[in-house]
Amino acid sequence: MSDDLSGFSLYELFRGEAESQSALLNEGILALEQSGSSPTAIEPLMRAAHSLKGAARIVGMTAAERLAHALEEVFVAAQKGTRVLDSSHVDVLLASVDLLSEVSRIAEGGVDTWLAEHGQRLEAQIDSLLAIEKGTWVAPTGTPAVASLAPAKDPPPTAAPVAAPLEAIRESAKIPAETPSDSTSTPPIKSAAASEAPAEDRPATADRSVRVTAENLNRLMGLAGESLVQARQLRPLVDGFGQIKEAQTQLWDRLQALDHDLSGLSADETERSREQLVAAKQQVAKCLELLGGRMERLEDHARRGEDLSERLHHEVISSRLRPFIDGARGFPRLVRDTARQLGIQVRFEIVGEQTGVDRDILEKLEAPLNHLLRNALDHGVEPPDQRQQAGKDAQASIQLEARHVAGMLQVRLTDDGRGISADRVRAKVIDRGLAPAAMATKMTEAELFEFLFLPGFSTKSEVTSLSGRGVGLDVVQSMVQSVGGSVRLSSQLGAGTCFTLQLPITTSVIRALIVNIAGQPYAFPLSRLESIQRVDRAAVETLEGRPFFTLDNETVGLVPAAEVLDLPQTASGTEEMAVVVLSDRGSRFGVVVDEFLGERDLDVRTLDPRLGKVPNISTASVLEDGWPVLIIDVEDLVRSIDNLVHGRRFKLAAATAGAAVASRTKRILVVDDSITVRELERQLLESRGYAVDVAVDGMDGWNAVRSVEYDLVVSDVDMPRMDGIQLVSQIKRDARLRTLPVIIVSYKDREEDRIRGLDVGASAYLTKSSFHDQRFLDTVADLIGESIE
Amino acid sequence: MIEPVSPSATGDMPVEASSFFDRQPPPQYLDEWVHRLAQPEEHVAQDLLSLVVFRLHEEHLAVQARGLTEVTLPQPIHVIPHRTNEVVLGLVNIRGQLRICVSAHGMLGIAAPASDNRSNPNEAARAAHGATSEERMLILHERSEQWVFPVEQVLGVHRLPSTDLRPVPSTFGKVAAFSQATFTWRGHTVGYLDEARFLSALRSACK
Repeated sequence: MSDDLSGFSLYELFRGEAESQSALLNEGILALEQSGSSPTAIEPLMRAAHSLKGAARIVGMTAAERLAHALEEVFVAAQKGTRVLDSSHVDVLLASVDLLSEVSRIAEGGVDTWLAEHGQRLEAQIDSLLAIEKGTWVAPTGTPAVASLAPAKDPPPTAAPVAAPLEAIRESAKIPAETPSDSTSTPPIKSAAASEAPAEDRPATADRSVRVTAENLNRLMGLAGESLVQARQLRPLVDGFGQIKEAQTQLWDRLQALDHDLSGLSADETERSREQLVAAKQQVAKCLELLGGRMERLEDHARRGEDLSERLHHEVISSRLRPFIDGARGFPRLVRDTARQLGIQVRFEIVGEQTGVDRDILEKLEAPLNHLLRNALDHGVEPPDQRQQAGKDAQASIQLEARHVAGMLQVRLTDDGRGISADRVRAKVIDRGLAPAAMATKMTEAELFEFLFLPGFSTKSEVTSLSGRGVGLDVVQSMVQSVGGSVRLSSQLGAGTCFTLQLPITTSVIRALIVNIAGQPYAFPLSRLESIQRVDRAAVETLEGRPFFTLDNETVGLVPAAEVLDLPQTASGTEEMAVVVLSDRGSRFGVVVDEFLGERDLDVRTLDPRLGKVPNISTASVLEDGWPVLIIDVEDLVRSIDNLVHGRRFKLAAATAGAAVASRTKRILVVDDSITVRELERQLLESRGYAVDVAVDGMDGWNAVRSVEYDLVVSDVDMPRMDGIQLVSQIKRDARLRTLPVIIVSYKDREEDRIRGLDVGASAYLTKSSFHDQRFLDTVADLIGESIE
Repeated sequence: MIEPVSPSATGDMPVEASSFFDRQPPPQYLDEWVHRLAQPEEHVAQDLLSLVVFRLHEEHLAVQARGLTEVTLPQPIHVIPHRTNEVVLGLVNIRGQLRICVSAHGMLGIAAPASDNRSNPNEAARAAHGATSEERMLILHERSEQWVFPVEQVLGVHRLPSTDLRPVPSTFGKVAAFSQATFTWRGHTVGYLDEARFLSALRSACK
């Protein structure tokens, strides 16, 4: 066994193999259903089942071994043509594969308990398989009566991805594959032979993979980065040698001149000096020659070292990328099963399987895509007869496409289903009072569709009338946003819907603008900045004490970066100011930095968790010269600037403590990511005489409650970074803050949301409609009394 | 030089060599060794502490050598906005890993060095490349946590029996709060830091 695997037990290896073989079986069986059971399509399936059987025997998993064996028997029969597999058979096969992966996931030593519980299920499954193999199987009546999907006769134009012979097979071919003694009927000798065939015979479409822990990879990345830094430091050393060479050349010239001078004197006067001079000249010539030779070699070495380190760095970073298909392997199966369940016909296609995606992003992508796919099947695609009435192909088409666009990963999910009616969304918006009718009628389709991402915008019963979008789209959106991506929706009524997810290709490398702030380097992710400007000091004007300049006929407020970041400000004597223009949710600001240092690719490191969330900073990296560089959290920075400019930033401890003692005014913190709600709540509370501070999300709120003493917190639930539920539970866990009452105010009005809020310790749970009546203010008064004691 | 030869090969050796190897040991040689080996083993080794002694301004301090990951040349420290204070100095790059750099001075109430390079990155950068100064950075670890802090000088590893440790005098200032004992080393009173207390105080300073 190689060193790479020495850390894994045999059992873990079996589990890993079962995982990859099951994926292979799943894909292969689906392909069978789509394009018919040709012998070449069945062969990899036989091999996979056979390998699994062997592996299961090695670790003594009899249950898995027998199941794999039965599967193999069915494939053998199908390959010989003695059995033709139809959709109901495929159901059984797929269920068997599911059971097989379930068995392989049983914790080591837990097999007996599992068997006691599920033994019957296992036996039934094996029986069904053997019955299929013998031709005695009858489809249970409950199964949807779908006609045998004509094998091979009518292959759809775009077949589902055909199982690629993964390297896993080659690996497993090494496992002793002796003929099982217990199979008397059809010994799978042929399949065993196939799996023992030399690996070179088979095309390798997928690479071998090795399991490495993420921590290991991170350390490798750190070292690769550092080795690059070190290699680049040879450069100045080489330049230093150049200076020595220059000095020696000058020495040589000087000696030449001296030689010339001496030649004018009489011979005996200068005899001794001349001798010395000749010796010196020889010495210098030798030095020059030596130095020249060594320098060339050093330069060569430095160049190769740098090149090598750069490649290493690049390679380590790209090792985090995995093909998109790795995160989408389960989808064809999901589509097939759901479609069959719903009685619809769907052709599913994945485009861009090999598109590279960061493993972290791929992991986070699976759940939202799963959700969107289910949505498309459940509510997007019409039943075949409806489709035909509408003049469409009875078989619907769903396409999942992944590609790199302008340095970003774009994932699109397109269906040709019934689409979404913008008018119904509009009616809904007006009905729920989310926007005044006058405003709603002016909204574009894109603007209206934005509402579908609002939590709880539509419930299950309303879904069908709205062509079924909206369920959990808020969840999809927040997941995509958590990795720095965005999701867009476009739809044409009757023609279909398209979701476009825009994500960073990797979270580990970003292109950034490096600037100097207070004498130290900081980075702005290029994707998050609007432009950079050099602004003449003379062009700066002031309005209400705040400096601004004009850009594209618009005034842009100027804020020194050092002021926002709470760093010492460095006076600059230059005529021009370096300004980074940022915008977020309609606010636009110019951030003044000391100087621009240029663009770089940075490999992103997370900040030490001991630091907690550092305001305005997202992550860090290391520059070529070894300097640490902090990467700005642009969204957070804009929020901070917004607070700073509008002078409503919660004041820090000392100042407020004094004020509170003097007046005894009750202080309330309002936490909400919507500026409208925030302002409404603030005005309502201030009208009652309470002192109000605002925070723009849970994290901001959490920072605030720890620095200022509040009598009450009013919080929203759905917010970026930290939601209201998390905020409340953090507060209730803190010994000092535990007694601080919290009111949750949310759009979510379902009972389970209410219970969830109260469960974590909120004192009251109100819906946003409570602003219209007295309930909100009454609840506040009930909890903390009137504003002044 | 005599080549090492295994006893079984002596048959092929020249006479001179075999007589050299086969010679009788000097008288009392065996007795001497028997006596020596019969002595009960001294138990110093068990109580021998291995401490790294370093200097912060005028204070001499020590930590257990096994809690020390490494000693490096000073690296530039990047200030962390809203987090840098008298204890948390910022981030440093230690072999490609970004680590939190803290100030033991700030923690222990010791005056920071006169040539304070924290606010001046160029100074720090120069310090990082020119090794002339005696300033170093110590990296302590507790399980997977690493703590980096600058010191004015590392004076080396000192081994001493635990019996040489004395209680901490109350006149020892703020250092006393974080010391578990003191000892005398080259005429200086050295505070032996209580790592657990020291690191936990650092941890809460980061929050």
